[in-house]
Amino acid sequence: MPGGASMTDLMTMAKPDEALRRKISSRLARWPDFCLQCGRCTSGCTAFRLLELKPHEIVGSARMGFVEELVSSRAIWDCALCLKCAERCPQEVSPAELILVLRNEAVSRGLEVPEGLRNILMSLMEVGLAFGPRKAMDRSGRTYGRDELGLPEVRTGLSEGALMALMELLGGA
Amino acid sequence: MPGSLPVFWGCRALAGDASFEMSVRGVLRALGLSLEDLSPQACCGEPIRSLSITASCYLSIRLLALAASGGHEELLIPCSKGYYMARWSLDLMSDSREVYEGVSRALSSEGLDVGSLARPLSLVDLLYREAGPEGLASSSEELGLEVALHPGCYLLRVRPGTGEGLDELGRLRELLGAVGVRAPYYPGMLDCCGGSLSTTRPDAAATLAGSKLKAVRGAGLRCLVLACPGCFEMLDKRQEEALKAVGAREPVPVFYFTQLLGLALGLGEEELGLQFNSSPVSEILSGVSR
Repeated sequence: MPGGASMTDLMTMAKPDEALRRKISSRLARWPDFCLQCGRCTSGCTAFRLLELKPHEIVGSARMGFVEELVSSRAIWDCALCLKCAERCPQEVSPAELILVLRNEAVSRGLEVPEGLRNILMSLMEVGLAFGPRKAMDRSGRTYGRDELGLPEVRTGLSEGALMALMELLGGA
Repeated sequence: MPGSLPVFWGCRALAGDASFEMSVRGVLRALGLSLEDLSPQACCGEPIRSLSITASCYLSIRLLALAASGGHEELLIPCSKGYYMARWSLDLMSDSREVYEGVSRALSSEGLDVGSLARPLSLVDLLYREAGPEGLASSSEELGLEVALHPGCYLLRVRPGTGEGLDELGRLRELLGAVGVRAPYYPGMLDCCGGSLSTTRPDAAATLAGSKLKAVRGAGLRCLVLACPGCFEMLDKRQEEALKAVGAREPVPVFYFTQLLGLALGLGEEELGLQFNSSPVSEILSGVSR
């Protein structure tokens, strides 16, 4: 959160952006309007215990149209994507899914993307996998190729057509 | 099951997680099941969900389309995250026209058809269907172990709110029970290992993994048993870092559930890739009745 301001502080500074709210909602199976603010998501949230992430606040803010503030907040990157919130919600809202959509919006605007995700994207473009093929290492530190372990060779990678289609979908990412 | 079943391994196996790939291959071979590697293997999309949901769904659905184009009705996805992605992507395509159209257009670039997809199949479901607890019990020795089972978020919450994940957990416990492995509830059993946080908040991810390891010791259980390669990376491969993050010292032996099934079926430790587990599994192996 910039300057140490809380999400509530930021919310008082801007008017709700309805167009952005509609854009975000089109990508969700169930829009946060169904949220009762019961707090069951937050009470079970993995990241709440560690990083004070409050999924019900994120859903509540999105419902009120304060999407702009959420997109630029650091809080959306604290979610562990453990899906406990979606499992616990009595209204079938998925705060984790809303957080993913907010992250997508942040990325498409060129806002800061964690380094780990940038590395994964580079590997995906180069070898078609999030982590490139590597030899297996045993407890003594010795490495083994697939043939030494009796494992068949496996062809990996994305075709040129798939790579082009992927880049088009990734857009600004 | 006639013919061979196509399998998508996922990036962890191909990035050197031999404990996973060797034990899955070993167990299925011992049960008389024949596999055919999906070709080519590429990302399931899970790691890029934060970048673009539609792009990640495309990568996942593409695997199902590739399997179908090879004449297969099912695709085995033994990785929990890969299986979750396939189920989530199928649901999302039916809920969101925007995602459906994006995926459909992207598939057509390779002549693949969104209307022709293989069904995703989890490893637990395959084992339950093809062998089941009775089949396993009749062809194996009882191991006589009590373990801390960590089902992992993506198996346990495969379709949140539907109860499907709890069914998966129940079947997994039955399969383990059939080979003499008891997996009782312990506080923290359903907690996250921190895997998906490791790309955005690596410090917090290590603390979560460490807390999980402490919970196992706190419950008086001697080893941890996993289903998911993402969890294995956090809890076995990076165990030293995880223990340090929570100020713990005592290491915890970590196994894949397929390694235990394989031992019970009479497979050798090397065939199951046990030399590739970084945690001290030998202390458990020496006491297992086989």
